[in-house]
Amino acid sequence: MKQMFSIVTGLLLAVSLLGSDQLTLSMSTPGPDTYADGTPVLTGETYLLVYVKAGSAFHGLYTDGSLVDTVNNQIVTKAYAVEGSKCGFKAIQYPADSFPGGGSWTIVVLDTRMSDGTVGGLVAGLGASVTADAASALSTSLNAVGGSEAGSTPALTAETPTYALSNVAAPEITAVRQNGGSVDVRFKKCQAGVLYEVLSTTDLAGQWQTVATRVQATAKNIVQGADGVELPTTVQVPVTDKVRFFKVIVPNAAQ
Amino acid sequence: MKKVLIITAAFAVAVLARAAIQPIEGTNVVGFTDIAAPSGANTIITVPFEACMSNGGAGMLSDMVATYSLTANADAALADQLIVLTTNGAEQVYYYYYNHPATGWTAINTEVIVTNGQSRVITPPAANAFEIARGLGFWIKRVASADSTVYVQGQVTSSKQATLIATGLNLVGYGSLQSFDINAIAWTGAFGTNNLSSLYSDRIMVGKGDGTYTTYYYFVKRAGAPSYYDQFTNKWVLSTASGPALPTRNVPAGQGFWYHRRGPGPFTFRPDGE
Repeated sequence: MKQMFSIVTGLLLAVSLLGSDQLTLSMSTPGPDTYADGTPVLTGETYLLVYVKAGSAFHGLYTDGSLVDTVNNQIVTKAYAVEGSKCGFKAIQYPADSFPGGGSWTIVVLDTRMSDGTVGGLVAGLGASVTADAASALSTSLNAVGGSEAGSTPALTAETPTYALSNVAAPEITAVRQNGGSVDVRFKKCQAGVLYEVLSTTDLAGQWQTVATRVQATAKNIVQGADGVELPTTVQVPVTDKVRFFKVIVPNAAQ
Repeated sequence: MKKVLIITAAFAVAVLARAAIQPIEGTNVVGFTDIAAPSGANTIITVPFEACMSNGGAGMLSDMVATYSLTANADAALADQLIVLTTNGAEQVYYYYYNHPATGWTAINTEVIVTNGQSRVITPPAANAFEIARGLGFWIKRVASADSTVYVQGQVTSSKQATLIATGLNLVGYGSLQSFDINAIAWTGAFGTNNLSSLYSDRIMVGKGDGTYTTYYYFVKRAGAPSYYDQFTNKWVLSTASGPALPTRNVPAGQGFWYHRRGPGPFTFRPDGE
């Protein structure tokens, strides 16, 4: 009788029970988190809390900040960098069945720096290495992801490039003007949400060098050209240049 | 000589009269007590006191949980925190507070995720306006520190505790100044069925301090079960490989616990009796 009792109770113990409707989770990073170039993340930079379904992984972002894998990844909330180049503490509450146990949480730091050095632009890079298991609906734990005290989790580095949006049109340069030490380049077929780079060379048979990155169309910087909207940008060149060529590319694009 | 005697006699009478006058007792007794709350860990605590001293009204969070010996920081992530699971009207909400060096317990907004990617922000009441009922359990989240104690303070109560236990998980406690045997307090309303039913009986989870819990189930002897089980009926028991077992340790004073209500509807936990 006792043996039967213990078997039954043993089996029943293995079955989890109903839990709270709402769960809580906090996110933060100990910092200092950095960009790919090694500089500390700027205050106000964006962090994402991404839920990753069981058996999957975080598959990255497009330059406009949208998810590459919208089936298995879900952006749950955003947080922002505070002094110390770290994700500021943020508390969230969520329905237990919205983000089932078995999945995981990932904190992603973004690189949204624009050419003027301020944050808030398109996403040029990301770092995602802080993860935690998502709690089951039965959780009685106080859950947190990312840690807060120095050394509690590794610092994040936004060194993974983002992907170009699909079906981006190939840019086409419409004007180039030398200004002695700088060159104004304009191109058309520019799209919102796309990061462009300008490459330059003095020898068409030689190596192309990147001379401008994070070139992005905004309402403030686009101009009307003969054949629609154009995006101007200025690149620096040696004053002594006798010959130089330019082209515009969309990096990390899967065509 | 006569004069001396008269003065002496008068003095003696005055002393006797003074000894006969009873002191005027204060109307309340207040104090503080320590609760173990290890640094670098999360602990469920409960406040054994009731009204706060400062305003004579209901106990407010900022008055009842002392910030003395706790870690304060302007960055919430680096400060000790209190997290309360409570209700805001009809819904469960989590209120976060952190120990700010200038303002003490300070509310942190919580973003509530709802369906379809929507969210809203809830702002907890200020800590000096958030009423802590005796018997409410809540988390204290400690950052790394040398100190492993939190102090709670307030007025010693003479009234009996009455704490509503709702269906589902409840963070509660017994507002006692001493450690207690969980089976030595009243549990009228607790639900058990079919001897030890780990699926359907109410259960209590008491933290061990390492993130794990000791789980007790409410045992109600099944009709016709052997008399061996009489010793367990209407008691909280452990489920062991050899069957039910009575608790082997007391719940420390000031330690809260999870109560998982699975019985029909809510009930009022009255540990001191009716």
